[in-house]
Amino acid sequence: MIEIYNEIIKHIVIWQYELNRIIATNIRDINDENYLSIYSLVIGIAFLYGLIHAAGPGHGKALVALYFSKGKGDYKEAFKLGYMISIIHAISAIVVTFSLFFILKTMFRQNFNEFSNTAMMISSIMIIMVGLYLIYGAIKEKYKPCHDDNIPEQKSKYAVALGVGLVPCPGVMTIVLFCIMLKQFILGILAAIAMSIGMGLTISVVGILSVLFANKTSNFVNKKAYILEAISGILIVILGIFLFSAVK
Amino acid sequence: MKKLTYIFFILPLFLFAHPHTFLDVYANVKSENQKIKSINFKWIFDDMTSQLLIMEFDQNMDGKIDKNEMEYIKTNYFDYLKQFNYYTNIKIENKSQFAKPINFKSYIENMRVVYQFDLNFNYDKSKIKIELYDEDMFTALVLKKEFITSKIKYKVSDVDNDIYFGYRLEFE
Repeated sequence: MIEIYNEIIKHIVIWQYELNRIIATNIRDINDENYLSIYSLVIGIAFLYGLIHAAGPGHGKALVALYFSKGKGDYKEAFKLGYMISIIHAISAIVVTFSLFFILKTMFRQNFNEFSNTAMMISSIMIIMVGLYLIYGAIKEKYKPCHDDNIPEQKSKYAVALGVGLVPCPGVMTIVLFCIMLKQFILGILAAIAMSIGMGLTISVVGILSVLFANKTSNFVNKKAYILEAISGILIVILGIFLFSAVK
Repeated sequence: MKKLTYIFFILPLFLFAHPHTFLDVYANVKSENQKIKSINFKWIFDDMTSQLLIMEFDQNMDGKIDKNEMEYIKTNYFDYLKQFNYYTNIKIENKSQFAKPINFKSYIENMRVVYQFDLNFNYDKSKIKIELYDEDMFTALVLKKEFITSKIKYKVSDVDNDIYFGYRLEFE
């Protein structure tokens, strides 16, 4: 099992290494004649890159999985959540990179580090709050005779998406920045969007798998669904606390 | 308990870490009678990271890294890697040793940032193993067989650690 996992990690790293290189060399080679083909190539590769990038460790997959492990979710919801995360991811990366670049210009990296620490802190606090909210919902459900669910669900989903998506992905930011520096502004934005769509797809798949798993389990505990919800809430809180403590 | 600690340490890494920087690692091995004397390492950053670094490193924007700029890189970036043991895990007879790089240099080559340094050894070839990896997986170090120059026969293999991926260099 471990060997397979190691093999996967290895390939995720190597594929990214190759794709990263292809993107960089192609962007450098853009001229008036070949820009259309290079644009489409870079956008296509950025999508692939995002797909693989999000498959590596990170990008809130754990949170999405935990969120849907509470049961009651459906595939559409998981898909939507993945995409909400990727849209926020893309916007935050584009906005942060462009504004940092044009406002601050120098010392970009240090400012980025500071910003990313703050964003990570906010993000982990939000994750803790999502967890608490789920626990609260579970308690309420336990003591309430009739079930009229799903209205607060919607809100907690947005919180999950914001919590995960708010921290701009350094991978996307690097591509955007690279394009800005070579004066390929539009390509930078398009590549960021393509990459985020790729990442969203991967995150959605994780959510869908989690829904599939949770639905199977919840058949057993159908009447006591709040237990699952409480457990996933507690796990999310723990996750948030550890993320918070990991911020340097 | 062990499992629990494992989960607690690993989970945060899984959420925020994955390679964002790629380093091509070139190694030039100097040996004398089956003894490894020293290895000159050359780290070449990927294009995108290089562009980002050049913006900060090349403060007078002349396309070169001069003496002051190199000093800045050493104190603010390279020395900082000490806590990660310079991503270079040296094993002498299977015991880990701290890496002590000397002769640090940095320059720009083909628009890519390069770090260069030496590690001195003076051990028999059979006793040395060098593993290259970043435990946080923020940086991926890529060591290919063709990146190595050595008179002594060598072998490159994968480092199988459950949470990150790296390469091992040993001599035959």
